[in-house]
Amino acid sequence: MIALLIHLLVLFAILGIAALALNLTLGWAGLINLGFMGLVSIGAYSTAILTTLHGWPMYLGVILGMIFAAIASLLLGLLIRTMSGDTLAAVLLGFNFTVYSVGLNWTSLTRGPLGIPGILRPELIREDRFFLILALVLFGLTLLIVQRITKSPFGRALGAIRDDELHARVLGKRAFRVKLITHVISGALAGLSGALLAHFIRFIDPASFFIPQLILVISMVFVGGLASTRGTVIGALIMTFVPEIVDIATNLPSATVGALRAIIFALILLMVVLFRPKGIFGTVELPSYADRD
Amino acid sequence: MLTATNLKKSFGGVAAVDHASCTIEQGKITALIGPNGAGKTTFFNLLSGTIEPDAGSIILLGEDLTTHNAEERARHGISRSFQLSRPFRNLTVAEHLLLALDDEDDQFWKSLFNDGKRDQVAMKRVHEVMKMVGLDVPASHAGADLSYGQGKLLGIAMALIHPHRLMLLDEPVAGVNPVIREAISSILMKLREEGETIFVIEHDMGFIMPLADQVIVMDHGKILAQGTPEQIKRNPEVLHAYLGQQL
Repeated sequence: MIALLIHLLVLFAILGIAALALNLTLGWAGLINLGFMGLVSIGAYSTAILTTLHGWPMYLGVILGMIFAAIASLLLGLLIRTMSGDTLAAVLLGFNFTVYSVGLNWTSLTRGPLGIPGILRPELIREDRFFLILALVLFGLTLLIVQRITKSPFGRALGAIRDDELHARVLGKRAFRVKLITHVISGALAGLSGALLAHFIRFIDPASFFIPQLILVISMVFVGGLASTRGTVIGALIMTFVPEIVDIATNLPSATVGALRAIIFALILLMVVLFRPKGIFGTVELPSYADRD
Repeated sequence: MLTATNLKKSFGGVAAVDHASCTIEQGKITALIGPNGAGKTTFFNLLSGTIEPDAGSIILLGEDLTTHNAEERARHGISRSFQLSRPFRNLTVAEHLLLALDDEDDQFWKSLFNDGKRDQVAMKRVHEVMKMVGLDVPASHAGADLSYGQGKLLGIAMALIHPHRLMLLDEPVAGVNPVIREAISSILMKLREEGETIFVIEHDMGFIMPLADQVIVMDHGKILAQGTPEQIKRNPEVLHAYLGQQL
């Protein structure tokens, strides 16, 4: 029971980092980043390849994972500069598929569908309970960073650009630069969550970072509330723990538990959409594409 | 102060602004009038950089801004309000004004290590400007919940608080009640006394003619005339454009 609780708490911390990173672009910048799991994947594969296949230390693997994901995010941000609406959504989703395909087909680097097993953890955090401390500290740091950014004048400019980019530009706000910086920070944090996940689960394959995981992280953001750090924490907590209740509280066979988890997951989303459409702590409404100039 | 020369902008085959030239004098209120569809707002969009001209040049205090985008022009001192009130839906009134005032908020590191003192000092200016334009709502009020008239006042307040050399106001009294109309009239007079340079589009002749030092008339994308209100009222071309309406 304690082992399961520790496992879930680590997942909460890691997915919480991912949800905060996604909320930075989705909630505060208003960009529906469907390419997000591609960035998480880059962070995870970078550290897995460097530490497991080349013997680098974990801290260097994690840092480089963040840097590679940030660079990918920068390039993606430059690529989507002039895009909007359906084109933007398709390109971002396409980025996810591209990273997935590279992971699947570049077998000399990623071992393809076999994935990378036995990803190492340093002696100090080999046990889950010590890994939990690391994950919670990094989650706390991420929370502080996101809060600092979004409560700063930069965050205010970011919110204005999300609400009405043309108006913000007329006030002298360099919209592209603000969005790009946010996108890069979000990418680095996505890389961090991916790297931590790789070292925690100790196995990754291309399917570890694909559409179901994207839906999970997006759901955390929507349940907690757009542009809300408090909401993101609550969203991550709910979406990590509540579907596991059936596993903890019942002795049902695993096939049934899996289906029940999915039903509970869907029910949570449905309740939020019906009764708290902005999310539990959300105050922000995203402008529809039709509103945009 | 500002010279626009031969500005041209076409949408499809239609020339919305057709080789329009004019000069805005420093410290004066210049009105831009003309029938609906004359190209006035397009002209403002060209001046503020929200659209690019097909041809022509825009010089502000000797500096060529023609190729500058909207944010660069704003940073060179062109502030503007919009015809329709368009508050940011998730910002408070104070945040709107702080946003307009702060020209360093898009600098990431500077902004991140801001200790909040800058905003504290800025809030004094925010309250001053709110009082000046008669925006009588709490600073914490959501911008999206303002009435239309209050939204117009907020738009003027933002154009005013934004560090600027030239203010462009697009139909500041369109759709507002007589009380706010009078308030805006008083604000503009006060600003002129303070030496502000204001270029304003307006349909309401009773409002703008007593205020304006210079009037520019536009029709079918062209500048028909530029002169004092008295000269414009006597101009036969202008009278024809307005189909005999009395100015």
